Amino acid sequence: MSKSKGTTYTFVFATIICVVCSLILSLSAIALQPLQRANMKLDVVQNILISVGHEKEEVFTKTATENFKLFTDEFETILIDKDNQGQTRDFMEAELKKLSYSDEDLKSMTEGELLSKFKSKLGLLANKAGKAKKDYDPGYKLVYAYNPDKTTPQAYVVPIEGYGLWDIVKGYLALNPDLNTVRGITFYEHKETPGLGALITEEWFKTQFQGKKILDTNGSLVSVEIARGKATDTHSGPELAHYVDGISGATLTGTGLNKFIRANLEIYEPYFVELRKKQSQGTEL
Amino acid sequence: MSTATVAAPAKKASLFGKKEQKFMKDPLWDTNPITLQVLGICSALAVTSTLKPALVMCISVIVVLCGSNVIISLMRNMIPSKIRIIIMLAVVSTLVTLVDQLLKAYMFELSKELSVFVGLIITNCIVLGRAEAFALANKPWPSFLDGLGNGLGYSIILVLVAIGREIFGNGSLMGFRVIPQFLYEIGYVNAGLMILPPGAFILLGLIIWIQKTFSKTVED
Repeated sequence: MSKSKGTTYTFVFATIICVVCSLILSLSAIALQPLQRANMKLDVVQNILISVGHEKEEVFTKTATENFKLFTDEFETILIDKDNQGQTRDFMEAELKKLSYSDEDLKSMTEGELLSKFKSKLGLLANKAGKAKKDYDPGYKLVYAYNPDKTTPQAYVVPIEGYGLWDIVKGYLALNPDLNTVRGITFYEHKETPGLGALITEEWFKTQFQGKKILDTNGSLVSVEIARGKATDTHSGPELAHYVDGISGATLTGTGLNKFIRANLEIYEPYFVELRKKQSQGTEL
Repeated sequence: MSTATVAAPAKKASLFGKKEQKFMKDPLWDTNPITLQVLGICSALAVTSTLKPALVMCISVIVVLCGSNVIISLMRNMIPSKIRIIIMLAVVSTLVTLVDQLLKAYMFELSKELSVFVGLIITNCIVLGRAEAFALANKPWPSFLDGLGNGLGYSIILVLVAIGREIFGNGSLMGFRVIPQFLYEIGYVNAGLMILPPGAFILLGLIIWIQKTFSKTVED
């Protein structure tokens, strides 16, 4: 490398490289975005299906269309506001339309996508309406009722998300109709350490949650926690219904999960209380 | 992070002969990027707590290393030496991000496994080290072989360390239990140290010791 080609050459060369690299990346990002979006959408649906007990193999061998069909056949999407009143997506669509989203775009979004878009634009929308964000926020949340035979729901699935150790972990938690026993849990979209925190996506870890209780014997929320080490080493008796074995070397990921699973359940608890009340009125339990 | 470089063989060879074979074979053992060039230690610690992520990392690094070496080698007569490092980084990160984008679009499941590795590959000093030490002074074909050889050399050590850490730290291999249950019942406990980064350092040190004993190389 004995070439000294002068400053102009260096600048020109650097500019060309920068422009070419950014062109390649932006073109590929634009061209591949629809495919990537479709993949993420499918991932969400697959996670919801798996959380209620569909076999992983079954879900992954099905095509995308089959998965979406299975989801719409078996699940009912319930949108509720902060007073636990049922809502429709019309309000969110109408609001987002003010921000120049096209009708076509909005109609193609799932409730989940629509809600996350709506939440991310809340500040802007509140500003437009001349209100404080707090007053404007309708506190929307989603519940997916698993109802394959269209009688009474066999499970309720709620989205959970929050910080693990490095970044946001997203997942779904499925509860049995008693809204106390965990039916299944899934995690996706995480950035935890490979081989340590990332083990939360392993089957053995997730299946531990099945059958655990989120309420104590008095009926108040205690959530399900990840113990340090083996749950049986630190907890005993009825307490064990709320603890699963931890992953050694991933204590901080576990602490993060504990915090956000609880926080997410707290948001839904008022709604669950009403559901439980309705159930006990409807059927003698 | 060390960016130590080794003297690149500047010999010109045009056939798939002995010299080319040497480019590929040397880094496997004699000039192994991890144990002798001491490059890529950070990722060797980060992804070797179990075997599976280590294998994923190995494949990704081999692909990126070959690709970046060839591209840098093709441009070697155009790159102004003053800004060569930054140019190499631009090329490598573009390449890695592009692959990541493609995986997200066409092989989503794999991309989920890989997502955390993308940053680690870009900052892997082997990629930059080989571009600087070899590709910048050699033709594309030898550079490709050098990339392949160094990638494989890196993989061998990574896999060895990962096997050791997973067996002693978790009692399993590729997620399957290998240490029989009765050993646990008579009081065997997994070595917690092994799944933490110091465990990797200890194993790496042992590997270097064994290797140097065999090859009789002495540091100056």
